[in-house]
Amino acid sequence: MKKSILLVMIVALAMICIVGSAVAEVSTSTGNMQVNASIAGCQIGITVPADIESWSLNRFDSSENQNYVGNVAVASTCAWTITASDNNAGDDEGHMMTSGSSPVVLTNPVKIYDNVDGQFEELDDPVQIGSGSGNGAVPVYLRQVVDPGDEGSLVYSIIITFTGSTP
Amino acid sequence: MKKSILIVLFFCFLLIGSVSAGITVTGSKFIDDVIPNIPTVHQMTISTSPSDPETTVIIDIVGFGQASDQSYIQLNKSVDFITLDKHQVVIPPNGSALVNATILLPSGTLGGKYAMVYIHTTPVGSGSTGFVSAVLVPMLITSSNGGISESATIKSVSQNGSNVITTMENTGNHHYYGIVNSVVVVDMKGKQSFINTTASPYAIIPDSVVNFTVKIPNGAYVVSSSIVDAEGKVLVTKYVLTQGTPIEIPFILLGLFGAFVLIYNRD
Repeated sequence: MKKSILLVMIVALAMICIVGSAVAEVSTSTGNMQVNASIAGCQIGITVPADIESWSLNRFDSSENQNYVGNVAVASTCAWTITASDNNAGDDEGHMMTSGSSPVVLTNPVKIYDNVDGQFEELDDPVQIGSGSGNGAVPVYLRQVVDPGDEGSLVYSIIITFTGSTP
Repeated sequence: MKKSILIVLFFCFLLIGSVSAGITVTGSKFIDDVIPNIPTVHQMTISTSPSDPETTVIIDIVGFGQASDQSYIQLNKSVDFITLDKHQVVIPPNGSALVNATILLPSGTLGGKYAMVYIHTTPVGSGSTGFVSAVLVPMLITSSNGGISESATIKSVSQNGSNVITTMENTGNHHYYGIVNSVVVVDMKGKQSFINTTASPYAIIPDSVVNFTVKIPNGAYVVSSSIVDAEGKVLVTKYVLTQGTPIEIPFILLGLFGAFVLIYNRD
């Protein structure tokens, strides 16, 4: 008898607990809510090389006008890609130029080595220069062909953006 | 001596400063279902390493574009369903900043919605020269209303030397992951070869027109190209006759043979 009373009490207690938890679930599903979501696993860090301090371009031997800049270091928890592009948007995109309001522009565009396709490509459009997963390094080579008509003894420059993405 | 002065005419390409710079972004991808009319927050943490200088970071919402090689590119396009709580942060060495992107889909949204968060530093060095570090955070949002429409077309299959290039367009309203181009080539002797591209790591988003390339020996072939999704379902197939570069002799022979038959029959 005592045992059966005890059993009934345990069952009743269990039912109260079940009902209680059901009520709790209902109360959290009512009303407006804000959802916070993030994919915890995806992270990417990129470190661009130090600047080229001085790059002397040779007018008559353009094959020498190539520069190894260094590596773009990548640290990621996902698959990644690195794309290079010229910051300058306009007709002269992808070209080195002098600073100032009336810049002098080199005739030929800068080329960057595409480590995916194994060839140098112009920077007038974004160029995917590397891909991988986890930690890695993408070597950066730049090349500039000088036209006989380009003006010498000037300081030309370009700003290149290296963009990492976890597709 | 004179010769060397004449030949070597230097152009100066001078960059001031030599500090490398980097940023790390946690939460570098958002891919999830979102309930319309309810704000959903995607948190991103931007951080620098101890060796980095104090870094100014700009954050923008940009349109989601895709180049023909499938890589993601930013589009200058307004995006009205994502807002940022800040557009610029200054992070000290070994520091971090939290940025929230709030997604709010209008009621009635169907299928997928796409945008990217563009996070970038100011140029390294001084003046107008240097490098910029940037991270593009793809935001691949699916409306919980459903209404997903999946379809694709092959716009062309062309041969350029030893490359057979299939150009695919996502004509649906939702992205595909893991797309494979499954190619069968039959040469003039009837020999079949089967070539599959590796599964694309990119999401192919609606309206994107992207290429898949396989390499074959230069020549004339009957080519069948099929776009296959991650579940192995064939989305679309196209058959073409390629001629190689230059046009292969068998076609010329076939042409001469046809002309000969016509002339012979006329007589």
